[in-house]
Amino acid sequence: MIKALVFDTGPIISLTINNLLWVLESLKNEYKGEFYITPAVYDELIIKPLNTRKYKLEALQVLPYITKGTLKIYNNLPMISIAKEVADYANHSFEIDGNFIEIVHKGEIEAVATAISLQAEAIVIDERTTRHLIECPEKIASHMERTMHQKVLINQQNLKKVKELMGTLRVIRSVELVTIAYEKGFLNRFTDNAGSKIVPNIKHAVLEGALWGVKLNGCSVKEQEIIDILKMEK
Amino acid sequence: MNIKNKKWKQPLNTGAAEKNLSASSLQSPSDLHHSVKDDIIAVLRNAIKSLLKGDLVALREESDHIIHCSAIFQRQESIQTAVVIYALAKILERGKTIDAKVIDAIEKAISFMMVDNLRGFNTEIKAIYDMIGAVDDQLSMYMQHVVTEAQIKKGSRIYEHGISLGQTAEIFGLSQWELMKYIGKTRVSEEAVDTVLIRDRIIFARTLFTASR
Repeated sequence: MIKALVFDTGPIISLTINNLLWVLESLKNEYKGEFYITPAVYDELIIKPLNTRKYKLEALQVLPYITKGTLKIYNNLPMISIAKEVADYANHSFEIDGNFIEIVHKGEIEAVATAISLQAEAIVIDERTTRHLIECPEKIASHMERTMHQKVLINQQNLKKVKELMGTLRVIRSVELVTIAYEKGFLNRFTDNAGSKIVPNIKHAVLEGALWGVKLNGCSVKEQEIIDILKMEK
Repeated sequence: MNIKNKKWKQPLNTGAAEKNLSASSLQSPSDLHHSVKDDIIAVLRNAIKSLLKGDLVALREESDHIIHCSAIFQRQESIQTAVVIYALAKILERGKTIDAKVIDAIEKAISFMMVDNLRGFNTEIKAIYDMIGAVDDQLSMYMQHVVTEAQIKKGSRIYEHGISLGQTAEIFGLSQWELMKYIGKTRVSEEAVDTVLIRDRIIFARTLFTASR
């Protein structure tokens, strides 16, 4: 296992939109390892929005973290073939009416494949389906049955292959990163003496604001999980 | 998004679907599953009735109905149909009237779909998009284009069904920036099943950032 975290697109988006991207540098100094992204993630974070008006500024906020090396792009051939293999097996694991459901995109599986290929300590991903694919792929079938009201057949052999490829890969989300940033005191920049006279328990308020911020900008986290984090951090 | 016939590194077990190869791995992009075709035709016919009555609720329901099919088959024809119908509902909602040419285009799209002429179908859908675009420009240059709004809304429904964010963004030609902002404000996350307890997640995250390791 190497000292590396691989980032999917989602956590970087949710941190950027919440003006918390700077937390990555502090966390990386603490982590003393590498933070990687894949070419597909770079494309989604930087190239695509630079060609639009809407998220161009956000993309330009992320770019320095890549040019400075806080986030490094990892690209190699073994990763590409692992990504294809994982995506192909995942997309042939769940059937409705004899049709396999394409649940994941090869591009986003690149982050998973990179984490597997590098034997990274964890993948940082906010997106629900890929997270379930890593942690408990059977839950994807039960979720689909509930939302689509149709029987979902699991191709057990292909799903077994997915689990083998995932190995012991662990997942963290932007909510966990924000919580660690809080525990390390990195969010104290928002809690000066003047502010604490206006907002009671301002440090806790900052944590609560940051957790809800990433949730409301796409991190797949439940309200109850945020409540539980806040209780843990009292 | 059709599954193409590929050479696998190891043979994939296609299980029961091997008996129905025409529906999956060997289906050409021009062949639509019959249930997709039937759905599109039914939905478009109902959409015409709803447009003539100005029934926004019924229009949105038709759009939701075909999104269900879109999550399974992920065909552009059903996705575009869902988006177009939703976009037309938004136009009506903003007090604009629907040009008779839109109804004509939908009727032509139905005729093309009935004879499996997907090129003709797509041409008519594109024509409807162009007409929506013309109406939209009149509303305000700063107002979010109804088509993008429709794509995001329908995309979030596909995501709700269990398709990943990246795949959903790919299907609709959206950026993940747009989708994440919208999805975060829905209750989709509340429907996710628990896999790892939050306490265990935090404990694990702490181990990653502990200086003594």
